[in-house]
This record gives sequence, structure tokens and C-alpha cells, in this order.
Amino acid sequence: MIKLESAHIEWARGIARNLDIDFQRQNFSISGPNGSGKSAVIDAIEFALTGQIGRLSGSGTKGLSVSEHGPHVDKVKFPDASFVELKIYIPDLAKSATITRKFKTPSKVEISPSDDDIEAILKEVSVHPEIALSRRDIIRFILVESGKRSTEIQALLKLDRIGDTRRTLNTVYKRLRTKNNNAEANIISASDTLKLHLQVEDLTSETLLDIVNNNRKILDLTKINELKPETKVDEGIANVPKINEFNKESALRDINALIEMTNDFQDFCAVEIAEIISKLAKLESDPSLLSILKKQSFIETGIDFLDGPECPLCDIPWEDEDTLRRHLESKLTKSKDAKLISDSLSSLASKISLSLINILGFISPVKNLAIAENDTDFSDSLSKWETDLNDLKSKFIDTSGLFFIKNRLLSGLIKPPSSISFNLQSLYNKVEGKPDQSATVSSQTFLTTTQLRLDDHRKTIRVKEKTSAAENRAKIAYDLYCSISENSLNKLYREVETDFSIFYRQLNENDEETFTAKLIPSEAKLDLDVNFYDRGLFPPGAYHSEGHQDGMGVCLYLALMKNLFGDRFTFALLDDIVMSVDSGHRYEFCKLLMNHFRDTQFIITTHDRLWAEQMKSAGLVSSKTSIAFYSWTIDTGPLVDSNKGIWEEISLALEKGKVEIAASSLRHHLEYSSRHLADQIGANPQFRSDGNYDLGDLLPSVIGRMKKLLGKAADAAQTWDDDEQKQAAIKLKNALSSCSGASAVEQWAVNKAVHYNEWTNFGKKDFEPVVVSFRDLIERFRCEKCDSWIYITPKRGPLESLRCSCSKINFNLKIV
Amino acid sequence: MQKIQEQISNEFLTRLKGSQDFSDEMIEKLRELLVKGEKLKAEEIEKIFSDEENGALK
Repeated sequence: MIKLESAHIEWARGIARNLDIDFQRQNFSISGPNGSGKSAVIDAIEFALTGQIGRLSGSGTKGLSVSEHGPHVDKVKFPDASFVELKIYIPDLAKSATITRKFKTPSKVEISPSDDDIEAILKEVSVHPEIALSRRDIIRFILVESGKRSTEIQALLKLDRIGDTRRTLNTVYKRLRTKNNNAEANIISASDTLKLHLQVEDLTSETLLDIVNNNRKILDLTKINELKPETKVDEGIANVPKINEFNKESALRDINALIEMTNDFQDFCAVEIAEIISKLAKLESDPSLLSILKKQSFIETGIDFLDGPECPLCDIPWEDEDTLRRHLESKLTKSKDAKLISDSLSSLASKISLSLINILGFISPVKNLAIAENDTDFSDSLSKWETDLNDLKSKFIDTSGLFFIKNRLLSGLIKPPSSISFNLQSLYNKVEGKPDQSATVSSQTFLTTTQLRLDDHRKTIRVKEKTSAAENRAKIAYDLYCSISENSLNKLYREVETDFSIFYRQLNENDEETFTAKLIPSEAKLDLDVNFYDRGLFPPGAYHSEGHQDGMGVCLYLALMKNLFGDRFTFALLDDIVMSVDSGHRYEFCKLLMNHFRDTQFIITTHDRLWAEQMKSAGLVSSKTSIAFYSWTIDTGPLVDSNKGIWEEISLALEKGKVEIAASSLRHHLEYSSRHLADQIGANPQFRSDGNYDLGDLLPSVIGRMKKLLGKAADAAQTWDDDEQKQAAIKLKNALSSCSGASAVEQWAVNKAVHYNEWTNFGKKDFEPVVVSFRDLIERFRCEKCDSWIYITPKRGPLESLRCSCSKINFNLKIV
Repeated sequence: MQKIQEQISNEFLTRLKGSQDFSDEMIEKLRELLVKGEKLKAEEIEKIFSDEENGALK
């Protein structure tokens, strides 16, 4: 797989103009308030790697597409301007490469260098959109019904092809079983017509040879002692004058057989037809059941023909093939009752189909007689009847076919030609009226007819041997594939549940140390049960809090990815999902990523600045591998918060006379800084239960807290006789007082004219000194040498020091 | 890492090889279809199992 070196994004999603980020192949955090453009970065990376954007696909996104809605809104009509260029590193190959993808042509990607091995790796990455995980994806794994979870996880693990193969092998088995059943019916039919001709009840080699040899004797032909597969019972007839006639007696029997058959058509498969009619009526009385069943074979056919995101049933394009497949499959699994009825109907239909084959076997010889007698009208009507019955037979395959012929089931199924009785009788009379054949002619025609019917019978047996072998192969293959795939999937699920449990226990250290989970696969379902404080296994949503459930989602994702990619899981985009981890377990989450996924580069976004700082202090990211967006506008895209860059941005805005942009940037930066500093030094703004502290709450409180801490540092230094530290603390405290005075922060509560809400109404000249004074103020909270913010240690309990990261600032707060 | 579907396919073909019901030629054709990684088509598998090269089923 890959690691990300850098990204250059132009006019993509919420990113106006361009944005460059240096990811350095390291874990990287992108923080910023909601709507500041973090997800636009994730979208852009996902797009460059896969040609897709997760949030523009799936349920609830109908009408959205990457090519239309991927570009920045101002470039919708100029999609050429929108593109993403990534520099990536491929650890397996120890090679770097550049990928460029334009929104105008999402499926085309430029790769440089275009080495085969690089292209192969990137092709593999492109079919793994799961490298990007958003919060809504987490819910897919945890709080879903088991059927859907199975589909989601199978899709993630690319197991859907296994399901496809199983289904295809099952389809093949069913088709070959039907062919084999039909072959069996054809043998019976051919055997019946041969028996009718021979005038025997049971067809054995001995009886056949007895009859054949009697006729051969009349023709003075040699006796046949053994009936072998290649034996020709009419062998030698060529040596006697050949009579181009049918055997009269046999012909009369054939006609008679069909006459008798037509007399019984009223009762043809009466029991089966009555049952089918009753079941069809039951279905019609339950419209929902009927609806599912009517579409069943249609949908099954659709699934068989699935090949891409376009629906083979209605041509409507979907986001992707997986989503379309899930949609179709969910329709099939809606009703077990429907399946039971469908199976019963199939069984009844199969019996009728075999009976139809039998009838067809008796029509054919009579049709040949009609042709021989030049009775064209009758032979044509028999041909049409054969066609009609063959067509009818094809309807006895599925429920939709049965509904199609419902009226015919009610009104009479076989529908022989209207004048069949008359025509059959006429043909019978015609044949009967022929002079009796001489014994020689009769034997000759008897043997030629026997050979023809024997050939037919042998052919049906040969076909049956093949269909039987084919059905057997299909069954062996289907059963074997099911057994192997089930074992493999069970093994995989055991590994996933083990990893999942380990990860979740680490995330919830000191809380759920005995946590275990169980993935229970069954037909098209995947249940997940989790241990709740040793009280038993329950579904995740039963007792665990939402925060814990979210944590499970992240852990299950990581376990799945580990099992999907193994040691090639080197890259993942976690879009605001770390918020799902409650505040008490964030450090453990960082440890989890660092300990179990040392070689994986996580690009993590969060709207919580504190979380971003915690990732730094846990060592998951550093100040060099994190950026913060403090705001976003439609014209500028994300506004990057940087230690120094922010002041340059404000100056530039002022130079252009854009006071409102400068004021907005200053305010956002102060909000971010104050919030962070309040946490760093333990300021106590007036408590708000909703946590919505604004700048007016935070900054005065931060200044007041810092002054107190510096006063305490001076007092402590006094007790340690450390005059140098005492003077440094006093000096910093005084500087802070001076700066805060200049910035008029302390007057915000009483003087509306200096309040930050009024800044946007300032002129350029009025606002410039405001910027200078706040810059001076904020920079007092930062070390000149290491650039880090000043903070207290420890965060809880008696204070020990007020310091920076490099210890250049390090005030002892302990008083002797 | 070998994909799980590849592992399954390999074991499937190896075990079919041990069955007298399948010729080497059939297994080779199945392998060709499975390694493509594309969705299998029932018609193609049906042809292989029916051994149509040695006489089509009707």
C-alpha cells in the first residue's frame, strides 16, 4: 500500500484556489471547527486515490456525483480547474510517485512515473475506498441489523466476490439439475413410444430382441444374439428391397395412443394444477408477498447480470455496483414465507413440466404420419401444438411464469388443436383403410421404426449420462465451495473478533478489561454480540453507551483493516471519527494507534482543538505534522491557523483594505488561542453547561489566570531565594498587564466601542493598532525559543511548574 | 497478503483436482475464470461442468 508525502489540492469541494499540505509520510492531524474545510481535504485525498468520494455515494446521496459535485461550487462549469495531485510513497517498492486526478474525468488518473509495479499498487488502492472512514461509516458496522452488517463487512473485506461465486455455482447447480430432470423425462418419453411400438409393458433387452428377431426371421435376416449400444436392429434390410412406408400396426397404435391421451386432457395433472391455482390465489390475497415473489426471478436475473453500477433491469445508474447489489439482495431476503411458497410452486411446476415432455413424445410420431400421408393442415397444426407446448413448458420454471399462464391453468392447460379428435380419427381411418401390409413389408417397416425409436431412446440415455455427470459436478463444486468459504470466513471472523476485543480493551483500559466480542455468521447475516461487564453477551446497542458503541466501531474498523491488508495497512483517513472516543480514553486511543499500527499513516481530522493537542502530547503527531483551520469562507476555502502565518494573513488582508477579513481572522485566532491556553494553564471562565465559550469568556479569564500564576511564581521564587526567577516572573507579568491594557480586553465588558464584535466596523487605520496590541498580548503566552504555548504541570493536583516545551520558561510554583 | 477469496479459490481447485469427476482440463478452465477476479458467469461454468467440448447437451 502507500504513504502520503504531500497533497496539492485545487478548487476541490470546499477548497477554493489551492491548498498544499506536507504530510511527510507521518501521522497527521487536521483540526478546525465544523465547516472549516477538514473533510474537503479528506475528500480530495480519497478522490485522488480512488476516483470516488464516500460522502457523495451511498444512501441519501441520490443525484450527487463526483464529477458534478466534486469541484468547488465556483468551478462547477469549469471542472478542468479542479484537480488533486498527491505525492505518495510505496513502502513495498521503496518508490515515490505522483498521482494527478481531475474532477472532469474521475476515472482517469495520471501516474508518474508510470512504472508497472507502481500502477499495480495504485490500482489496488483505487478499489479500497474504505481507507477513508467517517463517523457515519462507523455506524454501519455497529448499529445495523445483522443482515446489513454482514453485507457491509463483506463489502469492506472484499468478500462479496465469494458470495457471488457461491450464488453462481448454486445457479449452475439448479440449471443442471433441471436439465438432468428433463433428460430423465425424455428417457421415459422415448421409452414409452418404443414400448408402444413394441407392444410391451416392460422394456428389456431380451423382450426387444425376441420381437426384433421374430421380424428378422420373416425377412430371412440373421438373428441378433446380444443388444449392444451399437447394435442396429434393422441391419441387413438394405439387402432386401426397401419399402418407404411406415409400419401400419405401429402407426395405428401411435394414433390411438394420442387419441386416448386427448381424452384424458381434462384431467391432465389436475391435482397439481389445483394446488398451483390455490397457492397463486393465496399470493394474490397478500399483495406484499405477491410483490416480492413476482419480482423474485426478475431480481435474481438482475443480480446474475450485475456487472457495474448500472442496473441491468432498468438501466438506472447507481453510485457503485455494491450499493446496487445490496439493494437488490435486500429485496430477495424480505420474506421467508414467499420463499416457501415459491419452492412449493417450483416442485409442482416441475411435475407438470415432466408430464408435458411425455405428451410431446407422443405428438412427434403422429405428426410424422400426417406428413407421410400428405395431410399438411394436420401436420402443421400438430407442429404449432408442439411449439405451444414447448413454450408452455418453459413457463413451468418459476412463479412469474405461472402467473403468466394463470388463466390457462384455470381454463385448460393443454389446448390441443380444435379439430384434433376429428383429424386423429381421420388419420386413423386413412391408415387403417390401407391394405394390410405383407408380412415382409410389415416386418421391414416394423424394424426400421424400431431402429428409429431405439436410436431416440439411446440418445436420451446418452444425454442423461452427461446431464447426470454435469449435475453431479455442479453439486460437488457448490458444496465444496460453500464448505471451504464457510470455514475460511469463520476463521477470518475469529481473527477479527480477537483483534477487535484486544483493541477495545486497550481503548477502555481500567474500565472494560475483560471485554470480549463474538461475531456470529449465519445465512446472509453477521450478528455481533459484546460482553457487558461480565454479565453476558449482548448486541452493542443493548447496554453500552453511545460513546462506547462509537469506540467499538473504530476498533472493529481497525480489526477489519488489519485482517484485510495485514502488514500492508499503511494508510487510513479518519474523518472526525476520533470524536467518537470519549475524552477519558483519548490517550489510550493514541496509544492503540501507535502500538498496534506503527507502520500505518493515519490522517486524522477533528473539530476539537483540544483533541488535536492531546494527539500531540501523546506523541501521535507533532506540531510539524498537524495543521489547524480556524475558519472557512466560500472565496478563500479553509483558513490555515499557523503560529506565524496567521499574522501575515491578517497583514495582507489589511494591506488590501479588507478589514472584515482581517477582523474575522484575528477573532478566530484569538478564540483558538484562548481556548487552548485556558486548557494549558487551567483558566476558569464562567462555567457554561453547553461548553460554548466565546472569546469574551475566555481571553479575560486566561489573562487573569496567567497573571495569578506569574504572581505565584514570583512568590515561590522568593521562598527559594531565586531572585532571577522572581524578576523574570514579575517582568512577564508586567508585560502582560501592559499588553492587555493596550488591547483593551479588560474593557470589553464595559465599553462597547472596543468590543471585538465592533472590529468589522473599524477602518484600516483604527484596526492596525488593535492587531499589533493583540499580537503582542498573545505572543506573551508563547516561548520565543521553542514557539510552544506556556502550560502548567501537572494538570491536576498541586501545581509544580509553569513552563514551555524547551524549558527556557520554567517557573517553579512550589512554595517552600 | 493473499486475498481471502484467492485462498478459497486455490483450496477449492486443489480439492476438485482430487475428485475423479473433474478432468484436468475442466479444472484448468475453472482456474482461468477464477483468477480473472471478475464475476463468474453461470453460462461459462455450466459449459465447463457439462463437458460440452465432448458433445453438447441438448
